[in-house]
Amino acid sequence: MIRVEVRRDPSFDAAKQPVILTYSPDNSLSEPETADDSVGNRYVPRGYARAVADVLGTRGSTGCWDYGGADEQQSGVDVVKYLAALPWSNGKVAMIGGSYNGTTATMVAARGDAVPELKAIVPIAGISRWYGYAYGNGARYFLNSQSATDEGFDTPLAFDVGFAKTVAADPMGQAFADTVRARAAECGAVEHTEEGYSRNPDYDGFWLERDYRKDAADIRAAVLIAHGWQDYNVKQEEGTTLFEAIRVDNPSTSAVEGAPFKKLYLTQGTHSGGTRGDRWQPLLDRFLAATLTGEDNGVEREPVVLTQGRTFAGADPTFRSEASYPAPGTKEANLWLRRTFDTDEIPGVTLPPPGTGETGALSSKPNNTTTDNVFTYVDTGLATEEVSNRDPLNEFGHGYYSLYYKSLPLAADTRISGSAVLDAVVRNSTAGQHLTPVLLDVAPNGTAKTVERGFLHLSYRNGLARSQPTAGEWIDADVELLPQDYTFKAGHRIGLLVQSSNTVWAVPGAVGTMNIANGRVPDATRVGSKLTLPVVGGELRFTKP
Amino acid sequence: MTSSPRSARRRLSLLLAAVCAVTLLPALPAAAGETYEVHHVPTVGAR
Repeated sequence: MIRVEVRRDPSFDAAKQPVILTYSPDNSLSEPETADDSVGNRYVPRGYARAVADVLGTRGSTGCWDYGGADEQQSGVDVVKYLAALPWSNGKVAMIGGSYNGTTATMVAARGDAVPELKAIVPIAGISRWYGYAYGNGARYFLNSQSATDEGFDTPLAFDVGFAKTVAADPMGQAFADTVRARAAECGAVEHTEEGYSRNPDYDGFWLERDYRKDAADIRAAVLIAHGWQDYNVKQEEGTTLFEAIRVDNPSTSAVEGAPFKKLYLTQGTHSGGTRGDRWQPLLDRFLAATLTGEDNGVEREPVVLTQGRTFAGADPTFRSEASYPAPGTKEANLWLRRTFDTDEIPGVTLPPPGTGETGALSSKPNNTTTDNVFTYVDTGLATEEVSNRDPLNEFGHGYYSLYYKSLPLAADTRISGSAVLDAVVRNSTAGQHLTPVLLDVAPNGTAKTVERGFLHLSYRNGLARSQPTAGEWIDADVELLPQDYTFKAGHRIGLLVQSSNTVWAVPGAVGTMNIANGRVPDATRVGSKLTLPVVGGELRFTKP
Repeated sequence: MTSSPRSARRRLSLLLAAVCAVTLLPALPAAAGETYEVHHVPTVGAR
């Protein structure tokens, strides 16, 4: 049994009411009346019923917590159908919520034709693929070294031993007894832990079952996704990639090819800031009115994307209205990793001191020679992007635990929309090492700020399905960084840190040395390593040296 | 800037009223006409 609390004003019953549902695993934090919340306060007086349900295996619901699996998915479908069939209901249900509560909205919508009663979803900072909450291409996400926050490491632990073990606040006869009985069971906790905290997390059946993005084409509900660009708990890519994967129906055909429409609202907020800005509430009001009551307010004809960008100085003061994500006119622009070392090695000194002539450049042309083609750093498992960024040796000498590259100063403001990609050619000494590039904005005075960061466990360089450990040979390793909406100002440089473990942000990989190809190397299929940027307008222009 | 005893009393009254309002808020009944119900929905994977 799934426990659902429903709050409504029966004076609207004659006209029939739609339902705004949140399906949450953490309602033990919202005792005693979970539907007595801000959503209910706003929408119940406007003729919507407010429903809040306890996820399978949590609080007042029986059964076992399922980590977003098949039983949890079906339970969400069952709740939507139940609410739509109540005598006062108009048969239309929306699901809304933040974090896990937004995840369940996507989870149910991905069931497509199985739940036609679900007319709208509003996933706010929601997960669309559970693997992506735990891992960045095989690297286990951990904490945040900029502010002390958890970046997903609590899951599944906090549910298996926390929210899935609480006792319902109110005794409910047989349901209450079943609730208590289920809490005493193992409930798949061993499998959850093995899959959720693995050193070699293959994308196996467990994760496929919990991948709603792969079923995004089945979504038939209207979609309003909200996410913070600076959300590194549920990474911003969980929202943007879901948005890209959702198909929209073509109204000129009789067949239904997708959702009626989709919208994307992106702020510069963190995990709790996905809806900040004064344009959110009016947008939500009109979205729900259009999808649940049939009000013709034109919301579906307005620009699809609202996004708040960022520069070195911080968040943009206003949002951009755009027709697509990535922004219209975004094209790939390539920069090759080049590196020179102008001074002879100093006898007896393995690593030269600062000022001995090593420089890294992001160049519009590759290095076709075999000169200056290989550079090396050592990963001790202690490097973080902040340490690498502050390493004074990075600028002039060897970066001991990373390599640093920078472009010439930009001749014009340059906006990127989406993910940079590092197509690297590397040779790692130890199987299981990571590659975690960090894209930087370098101000004229040399200070740098992180723009994007990416993660790759090298054993998954050929795909997530199966770990393929390797060491001591040149390999292609492509890393798609987590996306951003960012503008480099004229006069600033594009910077790149190439490092292995990004400790704190992720659980470190195996330690060892790493060779990076900056030109032709034997047996490699590519000429060196390349950074590709999603540039709005497609053009990178630099000032002459 | 100084304030008169009268304006100080007025501010104190307003402050007390605000504190009382906040204190009483959770105890206020649901808006007139609203109902609050608990339902149990059958589903697979749970009795």
